[in-house]
Amino acid sequence: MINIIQREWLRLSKQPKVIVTTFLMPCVLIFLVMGVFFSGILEKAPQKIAVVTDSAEIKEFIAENKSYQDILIFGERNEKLEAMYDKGEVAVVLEIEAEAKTTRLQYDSTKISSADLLVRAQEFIGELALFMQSEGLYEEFADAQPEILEKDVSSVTEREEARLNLYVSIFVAVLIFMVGQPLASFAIDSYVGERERGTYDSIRLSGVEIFQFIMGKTVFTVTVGLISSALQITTVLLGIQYFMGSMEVGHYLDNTMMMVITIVLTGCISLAILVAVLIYLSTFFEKVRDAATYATIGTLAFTLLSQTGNVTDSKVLEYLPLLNMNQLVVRNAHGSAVILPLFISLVIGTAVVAVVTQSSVLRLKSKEM
Amino acid sequence: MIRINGLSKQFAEKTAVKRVDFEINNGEIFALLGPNGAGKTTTMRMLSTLLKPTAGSIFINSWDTQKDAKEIKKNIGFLTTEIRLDGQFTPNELAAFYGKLYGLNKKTLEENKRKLFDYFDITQIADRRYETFSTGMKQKTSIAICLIHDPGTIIFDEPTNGLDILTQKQVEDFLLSEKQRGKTIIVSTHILEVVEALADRVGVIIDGQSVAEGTMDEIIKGAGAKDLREAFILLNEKYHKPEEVIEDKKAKKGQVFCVRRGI
Repeated sequence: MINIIQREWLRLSKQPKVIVTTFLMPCVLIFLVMGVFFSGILEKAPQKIAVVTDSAEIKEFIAENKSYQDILIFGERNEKLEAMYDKGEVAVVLEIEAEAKTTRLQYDSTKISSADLLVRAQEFIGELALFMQSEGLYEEFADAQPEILEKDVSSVTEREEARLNLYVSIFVAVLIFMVGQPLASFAIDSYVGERERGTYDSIRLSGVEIFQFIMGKTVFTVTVGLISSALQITTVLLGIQYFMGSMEVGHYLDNTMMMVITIVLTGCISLAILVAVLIYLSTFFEKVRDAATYATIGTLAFTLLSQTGNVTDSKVLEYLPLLNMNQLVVRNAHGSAVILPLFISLVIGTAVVAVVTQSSVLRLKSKEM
Repeated sequence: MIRINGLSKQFAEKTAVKRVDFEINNGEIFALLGPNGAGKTTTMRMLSTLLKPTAGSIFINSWDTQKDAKEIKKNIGFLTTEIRLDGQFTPNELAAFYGKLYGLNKKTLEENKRKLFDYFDITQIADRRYETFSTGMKQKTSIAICLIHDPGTIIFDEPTNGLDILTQKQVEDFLLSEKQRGKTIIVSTHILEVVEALADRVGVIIDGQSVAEGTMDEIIKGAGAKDLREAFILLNEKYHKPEEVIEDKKAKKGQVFCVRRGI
């Protein structure tokens, strides 16, 4: 089995086109789709920070500093500011009551164009505090933490939600297809491809048992699927960073180790089931072309069906805070509660893979009869 | 010693091989001669354990192909036009891969590889992809790879098909040298020159049935012919004209015999 896996990697290394279409192209396409996705949801994205303050010193500090040209100054919350905030022209509102030593930070996570704006607002507060201290004004200001008034995401209109659902569904569909299609090709090629090339018999004649052959192919294909998925997830994370601004990926991975382990294990077993079934199905074909056609249609149908429900039902907005580095971790990291279901699903998944693989072995043995 | 007893193979509605009997002695070259579609390849595939017989048995050195397939696979080198090597690999990579599958240690693998690659002029191109080779080089590489484990029994199906005369001669000389080393060799072919150049004994198979077995002289004499070519034609004619068939299934070893069609 190890020899078969080694051979497959060597064979893959000699096929630059396959490497590009399996690993590189999906990443590029995902990045492009993310571009469309983000440009769609952020087309009206605000780019300004508004500072509301009654302090003449603060107003002067902002007005005189050229690096604060993107900061709008308001003496009070008025209709103009509210209108700009609702339209999305203003992304972050910073209310500073210097005398009362109060700072409030307000933003709408679904409208914000870049996490950098939040960072910038925080930096501005820090710089302002330093300025205050250096001028001997409001000395206790530096210790005051801003009160964050995050606007409830549910206030986004249903139309916007439907549009976002559609974008996310398309995006997830592309992800599934990008992983599924190359995986299906590898799985299909495992038997019918070797058979058509005339290499299956030479391997069998060398003493490789059918079970070893199929398991070697399954392990290789699942590994390819995992690598491809990992690359695409990395692309998504980098895409978020690129399109949304800075993101502390490391911090989130630390906090979501359980989630990562869950995803990897369930991903492995799901891929193994998929690959085992595809290899079994491939034994019914004589030509790679026929098998590949059905596999492509099947993958496409599965992709569309899996996303049809999401377009109308999913609560995409619940997950959007991820884009602003908020609470996906909390919502998905179930901690120890996930261990038992994970264990059960692994056992059941392994049993399914064993049964399907054995069916493939019996079918290939019957073909040699 | 290879014994084939009452070997039959049925594919759906077609009977490819019907109760074939042959015996092949150790250290001899046995040629399985027959026209296209006679069932030679099916017989060879059953010999190599790639196909299970519908009826009958094959024993190779007392191993039963149906029960001891693993042992047999280790001890035969099988080459057929249907079996190919992966074109993306180089001969060196192919030798390493198949060597590992056969469980050869590094030293034995290198020795066997050097001997075969040198003989078949592969050494100079051992790092080029197999798919870039000419037909002759592909065939020579296939032979080298399928014999990388230095098996005691060589089973070649149409080994000289499509080869130029020089390559054909090289393959024939190789088989003769392997015979000198005590190997048992079975070659299926429809080319009479190959039979004449190589075979100690010949088995003739027509329409899935063994119709003659013996040395070349015995086959020629038995058919009442001048040479092998005429004998082959006469045997074919006799087989297809049942009224002239000599029915003698109990013919002694070496004697020419014919069986009636459909039996």
